[in-house]
Amino acid sequence: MKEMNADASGPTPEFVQLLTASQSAMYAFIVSLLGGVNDAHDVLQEANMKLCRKCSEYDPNQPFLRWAYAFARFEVMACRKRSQRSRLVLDDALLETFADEVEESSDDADRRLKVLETCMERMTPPQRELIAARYGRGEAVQDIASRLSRSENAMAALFYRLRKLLADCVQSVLGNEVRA
Amino acid sequence: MSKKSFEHLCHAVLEGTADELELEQFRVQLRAEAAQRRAYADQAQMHALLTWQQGRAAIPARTFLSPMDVPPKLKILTFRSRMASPLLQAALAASVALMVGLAFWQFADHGRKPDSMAVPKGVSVDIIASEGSPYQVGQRVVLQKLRIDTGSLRFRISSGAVVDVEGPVVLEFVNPMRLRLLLGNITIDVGSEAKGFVLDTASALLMDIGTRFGASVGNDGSTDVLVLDGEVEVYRAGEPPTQKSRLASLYEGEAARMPNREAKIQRLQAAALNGDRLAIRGLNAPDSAVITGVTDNIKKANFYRCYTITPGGMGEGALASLAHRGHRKLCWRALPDQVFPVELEGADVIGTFQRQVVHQPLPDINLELSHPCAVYVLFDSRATPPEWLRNGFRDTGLRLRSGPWWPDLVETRNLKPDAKGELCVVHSVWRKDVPGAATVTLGAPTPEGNKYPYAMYGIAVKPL
Repeated sequence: MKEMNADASGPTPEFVQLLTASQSAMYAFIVSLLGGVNDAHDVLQEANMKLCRKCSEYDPNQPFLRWAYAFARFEVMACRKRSQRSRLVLDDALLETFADEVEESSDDADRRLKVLETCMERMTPPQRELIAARYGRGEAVQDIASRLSRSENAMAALFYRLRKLLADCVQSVLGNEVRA
Repeated sequence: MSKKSFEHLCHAVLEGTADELELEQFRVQLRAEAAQRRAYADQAQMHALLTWQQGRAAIPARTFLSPMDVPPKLKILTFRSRMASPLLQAALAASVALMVGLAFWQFADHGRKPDSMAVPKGVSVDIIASEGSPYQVGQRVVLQKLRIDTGSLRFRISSGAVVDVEGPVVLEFVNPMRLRLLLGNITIDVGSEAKGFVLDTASALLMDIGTRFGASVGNDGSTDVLVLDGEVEVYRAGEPPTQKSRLASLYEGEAARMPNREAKIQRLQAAALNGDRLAIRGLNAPDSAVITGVTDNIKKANFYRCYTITPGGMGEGALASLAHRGHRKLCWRALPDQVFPVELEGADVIGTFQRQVVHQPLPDINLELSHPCAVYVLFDSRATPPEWLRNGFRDTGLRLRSGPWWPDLVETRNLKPDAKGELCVVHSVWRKDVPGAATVTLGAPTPEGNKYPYAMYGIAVKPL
């Protein structure tokens, strides 16, 4: 196993390929445990480094993502300890429950980013423009609301629905792929 | 707690605006119901993936930049769209990123070396969109040089700048705030995060003061630059960017050409756009199948206003002019409660500029046309059509609107807002059929010396 995943110079290209393909799924996992994108970059990097160092321990017969999630989870816990005074969205027990549930349903997580593109194409132009404003140009929701003469609450509800729309679409496409 | 409350809490959590009370309410909800946990998982995942997909999840560049040399064989990532093994290319790219990152973390004191000791050997980029290239959306790679023969790529640099390139292009990555374009087309949106971004070419140094511009380097080394939004300063190549070496400050809707580093900067009268992405088509792509040139008779020093050509771009929301207010550019629209005229759909659109940037006299515009076509002039319906329009064109009876306009202009002084509260100008659509290759001259919207407090006409051309 060790020969397959690492040599004297570090992880093999095959291992790096698996890790690269898992980046967006790991990022999403970390964001959901942290309750936002703050610190998610750093946690992902820490998890990447640990995974590279432990690459010789990876069993290629096991799902890579589940193995990687364990590292990500550990790094999220470490991050929480480092920033005890800052806001924690989930308490420890809730985080354990939530992480277990997410890991259970993560078999196709690394396909989601690609499918998300397809689902974005199915949105109406005004919906895509809202997504582009918030996530592409990085506009604050309150600024978008102000620009469109909408209340912040209405805009928050709209973004919730847009994310739900996309999540449902992604789930549906992935479900169809499995059935096909 | 109602469903709406959960939506509000969930949104506030993800946006980082929830206070302690809201966080506790949120936790109570999650503990109580598996359905809410699934809903939150979906919301968080989409929030993260959208952040990632749009390139706003960049890892700080220092964690990927190594003070060590990258092996020479990995320094240049070259690919062709039909290359047999895109997976291997992607793996190599990722290998560079992760191996140098790992090495950096293992041997370089976790990035705490002084800046002066760091010798960047690549730039970390996130792939946001890819067509005909082996890169995949969501990939993060370290690049020193990029060569694409065909296809297109959009990526975000760790400095925050978002870059569109279209093959053929050759691009070098100097650092996260500086690229060198050797050949081809590039459109850069620096947003608010990367003001001062520099693009070097053989004949010019372009500094983006914000926020979006396109540049193109031809086979002869000449450089075209078109400012799509904000301001770009043009400096002579090979010299430090100082007041003395500055050739021009260009603003949105302005374009210039530098034939070589010694030549005088020239006004670029027309530039073609990929309308769907608001990106420059550049020197290596034909402007359109029909329009080979757009020129006017304006002779003014330091005048760089440019006509834009968007091939096949006419339709609802087509760009009418690069003039804008805030995020809203001036577009073509159907009349309220009407569909966009089918006759005009898919025509090439020529974006003009408004009277206030020209002053008197208003220009004649020459269209160089290579094939039989219909030329449309979209004339402000409030004004009296000039003689050249009445005699050489016929009113099709079709009507379009341009908008949204803004209130503090001569052109909009007596306009009333529409049902959405927006100011729009109604244009009558005039048509002239041109049987073959020809030069068609469009006159000024009003005779010289007359006041013209109306919108400049628009132009569209459709092959017959």
